[in-house]
Amino acid sequence: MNRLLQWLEDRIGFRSWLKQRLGAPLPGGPSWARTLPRVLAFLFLVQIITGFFLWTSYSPGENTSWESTYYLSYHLPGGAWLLALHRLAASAMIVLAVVHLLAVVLVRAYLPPRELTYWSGLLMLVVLFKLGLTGHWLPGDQKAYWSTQVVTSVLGLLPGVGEGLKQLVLGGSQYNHLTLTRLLAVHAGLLPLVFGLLLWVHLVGCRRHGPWLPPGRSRQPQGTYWPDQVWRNAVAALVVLGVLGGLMWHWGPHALTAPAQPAREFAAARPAWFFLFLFRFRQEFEHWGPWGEVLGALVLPAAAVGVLFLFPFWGKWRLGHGLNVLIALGLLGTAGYYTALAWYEDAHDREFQNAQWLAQKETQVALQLAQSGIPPQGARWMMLHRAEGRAWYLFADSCLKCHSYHDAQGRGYVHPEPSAPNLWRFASVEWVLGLLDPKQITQAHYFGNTPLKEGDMVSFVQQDMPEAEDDEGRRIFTPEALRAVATALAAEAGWPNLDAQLVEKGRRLLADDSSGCAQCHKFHDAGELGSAPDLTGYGSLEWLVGMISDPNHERFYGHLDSQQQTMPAFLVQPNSTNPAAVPHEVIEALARWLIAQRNRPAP
Amino acid sequence: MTKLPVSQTHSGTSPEAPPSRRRLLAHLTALVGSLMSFLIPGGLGLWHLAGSKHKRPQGPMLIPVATLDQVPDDGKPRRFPVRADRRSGWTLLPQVEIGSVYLIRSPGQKVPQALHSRCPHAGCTIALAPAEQEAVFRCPCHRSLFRADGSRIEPSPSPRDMDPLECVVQGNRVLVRFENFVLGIQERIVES
Repeated sequence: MNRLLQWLEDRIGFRSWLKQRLGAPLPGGPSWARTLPRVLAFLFLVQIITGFFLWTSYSPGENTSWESTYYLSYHLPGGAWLLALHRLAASAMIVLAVVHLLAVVLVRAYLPPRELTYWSGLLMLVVLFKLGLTGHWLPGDQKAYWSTQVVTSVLGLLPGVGEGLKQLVLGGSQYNHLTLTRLLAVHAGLLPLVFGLLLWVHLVGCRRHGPWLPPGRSRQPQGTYWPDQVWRNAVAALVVLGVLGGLMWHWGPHALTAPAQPAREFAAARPAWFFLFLFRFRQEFEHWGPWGEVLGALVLPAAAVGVLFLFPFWGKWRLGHGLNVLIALGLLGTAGYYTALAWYEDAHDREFQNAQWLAQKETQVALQLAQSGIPPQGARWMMLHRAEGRAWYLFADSCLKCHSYHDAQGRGYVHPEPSAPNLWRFASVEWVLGLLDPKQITQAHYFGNTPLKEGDMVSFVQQDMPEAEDDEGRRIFTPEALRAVATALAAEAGWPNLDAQLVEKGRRLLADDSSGCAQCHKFHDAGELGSAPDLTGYGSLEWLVGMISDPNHERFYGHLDSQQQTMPAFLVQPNSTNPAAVPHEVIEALARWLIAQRNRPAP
Repeated sequence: MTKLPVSQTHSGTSPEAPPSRRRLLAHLTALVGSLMSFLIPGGLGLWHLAGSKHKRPQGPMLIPVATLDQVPDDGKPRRFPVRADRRSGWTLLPQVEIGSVYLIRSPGQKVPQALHSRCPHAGCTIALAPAEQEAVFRCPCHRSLFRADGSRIEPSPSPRDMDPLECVVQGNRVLVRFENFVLGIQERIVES
């Protein structure tokens, strides 16, 4: 070992270099504040390490980027954590770099002769944002795809060079395989290289001019780099890793959304959090036309960064320093304000909440489908052609056009003006109990916005039911009896864990054709079709498939006149006029999906 | 490590702790802390890389490769592709070529003899030898020569004869139990 080190020493002076670096005296002594830039450099190395390993599993391309990201996250060992660490370390770098910059501005550490160190640092911050942007695009999922579309479109608006730049980034006039191969080359090749070169300039400058110290503080060296500063750096690095690990644990490692669907809307599209301020800021310029777009999204942000570069020129004067501090705080405040505003607005925007819910469910469907192997045409195709994918889109596009799908807390899809009942936990005990409640049945949750509001069921629930008595003058529909009916119907639908005695009792009421449900409804052998929907197998797979296929069949709402038949038939048939109609297998997949959702605590 | 210059002054040394013990602690923290901070991302990455092994979807099954009339009993070797579902990372490739076999039926023989077309030496696909010689098969990569029954003509780069595969006839269908064997060694061991 010693001889090897000596051999290296004789050739490249390795030993003395190491001795000099590690044994360097620390002007002003070791410091915790100085761990900040070192943690940043450490995080850059973390990105190189995690990035390399991600690169071993990632495949750029229009029908491989989502697929490989899915595969490395859900099938390869440690992939999800590796990706989460890469993503979170990127965010941490941006946060810490901004803190570092702010500290430098506050203490005027940019003053000559440290301008070049300062400028290289600023450039690194710019590169960091570009790395974040390109990294956000690589998975090729919904959020990535729409972010790519929006940013490159704005880029294309730049006068003169815009269209050329856009085509350069996209590798053609529109998003294609080359977009992602180029993105990867830029994200994993060019940008880290540029960052590394800038870091080198930064470090050389730091070494040459020594650390910044408060005026009047002695530069008398105290301690040496190893171990006095190194142990502090290591502790700080481990603390940051610990925080990132905690966040990963808290949020879970996964962030992949469904594969991009260029022909469908994706209302949950938002940029990565560190660009959210820009997303909201540019909205202020929307009514200015394309020029406003360029101004808000490109020119003003670029000008803001440009001003930062000028700080060293006038920073030596008191007034200049004050101005710099004001500008830096102002910029940070503006970015913070617009980030918070975007968050606040989204949190209070029901439409956005709905969109996020849709995105989340779409992701679940895609992950479920991908599990058994993605077809060679890719995950996009899979979602659009496999029955389960088509069923989801049928639900999102057609069912939710009229129906709501949310729990009492408003989790799920809240239709602003539903014209059909809420389908969440349809045919469950609580759902049926609500329907049998004279107050609730005419609310939007049930028949309130449907033609059935004026129908026989409503008058039965509101007028006949409370008064119905048996031969001995006792009320038939007591609260307990209603619960029994609801439980028996839930049993028809196949809900688990029901009270067998209640089911039995409810079935008797359902089949009672003198004063019970079978007066109008058919229920197994009792009652007849023709005046109300069949309650046999109510809410079961077979019932749901039939209902969705043709709700106006005599088994369901065939007794209504055509004005009142508001739900179209979704089974594609030779004479079907519904453009959204689908084959039987898709309807069956939809019914299966609806039933599978029953086991979830919230929609 | 210990040869590094040790400075004489220590910032914030508490009067109780002897300086040498604090010094040792600083060295230890620096060493262990630095190692750990890089081992976490590096270890995660290595685990990701080393743990990523392809699992075979199922064991060897009988795969129909030809009809009996495609293999006349003239003793001539014919090559047939073997198709099955194959997983390539995230993609499920339905019914794609996963290899090929030579089928030979001697005059009067009912069940053909099946030979894996992959050379046991380095895995190239063995071709038919050009001229009417002793050799019937020739590997294009390193010129291993094999006779009609799959035995190699020595000296040969191939460490063993061509790999025979179980062949079954069901009605008019010829089925082969297709599996791959470890390359480059004398023994015939099924690839895991």
